[in-house]
Amino acid sequence: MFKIDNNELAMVESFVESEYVESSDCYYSMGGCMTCSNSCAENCANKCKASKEKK
Amino acid sequence: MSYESEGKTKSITLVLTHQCNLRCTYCYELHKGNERMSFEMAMSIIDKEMRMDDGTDMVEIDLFGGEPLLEFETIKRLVEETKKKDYEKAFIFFITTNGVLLTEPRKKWLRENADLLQIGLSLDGTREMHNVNRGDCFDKIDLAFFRDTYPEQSVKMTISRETLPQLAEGIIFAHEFGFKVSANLAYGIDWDDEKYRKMYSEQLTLLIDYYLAHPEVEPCALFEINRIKSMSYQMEDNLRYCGAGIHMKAYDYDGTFYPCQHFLPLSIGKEQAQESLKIDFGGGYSFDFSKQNPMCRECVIKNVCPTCYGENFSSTGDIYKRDVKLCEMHKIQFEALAYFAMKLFLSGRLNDLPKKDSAAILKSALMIQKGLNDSHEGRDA
Repeated sequence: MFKIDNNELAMVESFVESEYVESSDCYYSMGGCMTCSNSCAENCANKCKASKEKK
Repeated sequence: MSYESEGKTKSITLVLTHQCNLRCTYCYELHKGNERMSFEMAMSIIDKEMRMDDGTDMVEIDLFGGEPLLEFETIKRLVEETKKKDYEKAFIFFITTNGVLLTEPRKKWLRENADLLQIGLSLDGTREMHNVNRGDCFDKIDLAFFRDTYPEQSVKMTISRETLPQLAEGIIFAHEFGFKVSANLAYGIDWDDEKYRKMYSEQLTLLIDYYLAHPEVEPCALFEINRIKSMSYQMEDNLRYCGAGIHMKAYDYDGTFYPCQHFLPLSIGKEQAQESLKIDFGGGYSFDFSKQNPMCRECVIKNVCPTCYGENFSSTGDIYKRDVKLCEMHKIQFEALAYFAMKLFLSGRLNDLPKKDSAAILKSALMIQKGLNDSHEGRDA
């Protein structure tokens, strides 16, 4: 169901090929917990800091 | 006093009451009683956490329940008292509420203190959807108050099996009222049925069409494309999804704290809650994939799959072993998200992002599509 056509796919792949770089300053995706009814305090700063320390 | 933080934040949850005035069909708090936390206990916890020398400089204080607004007077006292103190750490209070207990005097006070106390409304969609999940209470909620007083706060929409057929309608309703939306499927429910998968795919397709046609609307959290960015970096292990057991604490009415609200006695019962106090969360930020069930270790979306340690523990007895009843639904969501990311790129709507970021998102999207496509073929063989 969630498919783009072959021409569109080629455009995406071409862009990725030319612009993708392996490393990044931020290793963590935003998002946070979606399961509970409360707002999780996780903020990107915490995770980014953790990912940099991990490096 | 500053409310901005450049450093680490911790979250403390204070269960002000076990009581609730509603009986939502999917509520994970299965062991509610009459217990309440005294003002003195709550204030002593806040004071201890605000003064703790733990490397944090910001504290989010979640006032929790049951329905926390049943303890409105305690909430007022806590906010008023905390703001008088000369703490070095910054703080913000947060509440999630069913929204049915607000009077005009309460709204007035909340407006006056909106910079210190943010409130998230639980809104399960249209009137029909909301009332199916929560009882006949939609008309008791002043939606405009929440929209206008907390414009950056998403409503929290929980989708049940009964309301899944109207998922898109409910989210669009909330957007058109002016809300941002955070929606998720209810946990602890068995979603493992082809009819739900088909329904979910159809509803997510409707939402994608809506978001593509309305670039002015911030997509709901289901379509937050940044959440897949790190997949492309293929790290050996992943950073944890949340801070349960590290910098989150959920304090019950008696002052005992648990790794998060999902480990509280009112959620999982006294016995299992006691067991949770012995869990070693490791202390670091890594999620140890070797401890998962094999199915998860091989999954293409393992690095980005939302995992709730509390839900895991509640359903499997192990914080690392996921409840797999939501697996196929998660995969559908990520497949839709990958498709959405690519459509945004093709329509030029990622042009404001740094190219390396949009390339990482799109590479992750390609990985998801290929990996899940291979997975479907395997399942259908």
